[in-house]
Amino acid sequence: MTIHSFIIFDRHCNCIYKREYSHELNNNPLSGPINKNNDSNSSKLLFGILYSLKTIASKLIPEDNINELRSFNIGDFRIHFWESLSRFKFILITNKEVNIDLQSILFQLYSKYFIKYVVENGLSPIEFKYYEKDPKENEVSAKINNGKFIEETDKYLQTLSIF
Amino acid sequence: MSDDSIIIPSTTTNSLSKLTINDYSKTGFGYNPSIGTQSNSINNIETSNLLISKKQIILSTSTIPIYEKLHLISKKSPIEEITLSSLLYLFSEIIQWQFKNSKNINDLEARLNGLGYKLGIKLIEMIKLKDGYKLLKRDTKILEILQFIHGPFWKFIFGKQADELEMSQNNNDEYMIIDNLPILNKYISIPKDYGDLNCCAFVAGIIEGSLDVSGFNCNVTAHTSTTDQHPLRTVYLIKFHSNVLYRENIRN
Amino acid sequence: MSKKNTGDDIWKNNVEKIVKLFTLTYGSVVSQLCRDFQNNYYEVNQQLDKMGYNIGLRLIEEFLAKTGIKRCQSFKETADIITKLGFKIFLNIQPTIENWSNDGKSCSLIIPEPNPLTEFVELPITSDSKIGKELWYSQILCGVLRGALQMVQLDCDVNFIKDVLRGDDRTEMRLKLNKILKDEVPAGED
Repeated sequence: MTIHSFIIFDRHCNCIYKREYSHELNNNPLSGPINKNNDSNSSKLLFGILYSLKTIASKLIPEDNINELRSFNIGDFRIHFWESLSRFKFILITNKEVNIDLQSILFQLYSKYFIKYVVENGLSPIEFKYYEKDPKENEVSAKINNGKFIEETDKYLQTLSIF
Repeated sequence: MSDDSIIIPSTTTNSLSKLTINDYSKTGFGYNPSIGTQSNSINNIETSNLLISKKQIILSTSTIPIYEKLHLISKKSPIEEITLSSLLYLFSEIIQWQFKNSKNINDLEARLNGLGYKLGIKLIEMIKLKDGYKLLKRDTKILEILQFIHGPFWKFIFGKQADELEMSQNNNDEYMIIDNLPILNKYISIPKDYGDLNCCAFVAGIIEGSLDVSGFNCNVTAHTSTTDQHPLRTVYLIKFHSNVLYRENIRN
Repeated sequence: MSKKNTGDDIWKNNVEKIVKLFTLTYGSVVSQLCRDFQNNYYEVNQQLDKMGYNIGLRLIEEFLAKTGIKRCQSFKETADIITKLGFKIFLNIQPTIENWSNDGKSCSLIIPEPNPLTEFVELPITSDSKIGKELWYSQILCGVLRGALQMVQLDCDVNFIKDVLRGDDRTEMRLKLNKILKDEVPAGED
């Protein structure tokens, strides 16, 4: 049972938070990188695959019904997915042994920690995409660099038996 | 006193005795003493036309006067409670807005203070009015007014009393009101590069405004003073002007 | 995560008696803006709208988290949720919905009195009559709705058409759905 990483995408398809936990021997899992590989190819590929799976999930059924993507396996990994109506995508990547539904945990991460430390914090952005100086040029995507959020979500995930 | 010495400011060219029904104040409507009570009625065509053409006058006559409204509300307010988050969202937007306008952190605090100041002036009136005439006596001593701010005043705006009221040990013109959990700061975590910004400068402004308008001139500043138990603990430092202390000494 | 939560339920645990501070704080913002823009009320409206929009972006997240609501099937349902849950949770009032257009894309929200934003407010009577014609005192609400709805992919126009403060018989807000936004896709992929 291992959580490998915790990732958030915003509605502009940008990875605004990527927390990796290193579970190798003699390693403190919290020493893993924070927001280091947000723009890496694997982040983009992950977004792409989620987008495709989400679309196909809704096309498999008659219109107006709900068929949500929740999790899927890739080899030894299992990817758990939850999306808010405002299109924030919360993702936990675990090993394949974690075959329970993590929807409520992802919702908890959103409704408790994200709301409290990002949304309700007036000095933290909520719209993560902005333009530097001249509009339309130098598009920048901010990240969640909020110490409290990182600390508290780390703590929360560590208390879970699947960590 | 001759009639001519009485001038109606709004109709500067006419003296009182020369006013006719055709004269009206430049604000649009008002009592004309040369006509008497009739001037306020709207039954003659001329005035009703006037009223129709100036919408804001209808406003003033159709709604309950503001102080009566206040009184009604104080008795049984239909809306007594509101979610804290609404206020906090508004407050954080105020900070963003003022932040964009300000040059630096000190300027930002000064602006927040200024906004609060105007609020303080009104708030103290409202609170005195709300509690009827029980509290309507004027506080004349520093300690009395501070206790009022610390107690009923705080309760009125934040729904709870402030936590501590202290006098500075070093300076006799300084007092401190301490709030262990300032609700406005509840969700705001200050990034490191903002220095020692405390957004409660807004509340400091409220205190300053209400003390000033009560005749106690002072400066109020907000300072963060963290303790282990209360990470957001904020101290409002109230520094009275020398004339206030001078007066206080005479009274004692 | 059930839709059972009503405005009243959520209300019970999350209230404070700070409505006066709220009302007056908003008042001081409006009056400061009037001063900043030298009584150019169109700009004041615009600025209020912008501030509201920014608030809406945040507020919607809290709303979604608190209610755990699922996607609405129709715009009518959305309007219902806005009044019965949204307004109830954040302002403790419940506007009524009227005047649906035939295509079901626009409706009026009637804000009941007293409106917590305007409880102690009267527009000043000055020689300058503009204020009563140009300023929409509660414009911030339009911004909030616009911002919040945009986050759930509904592109809407929101504006006031009547305001008691101006001497109208009621405060009426018009809500119009322009289009439903599609999810964004990464640049270079379509």
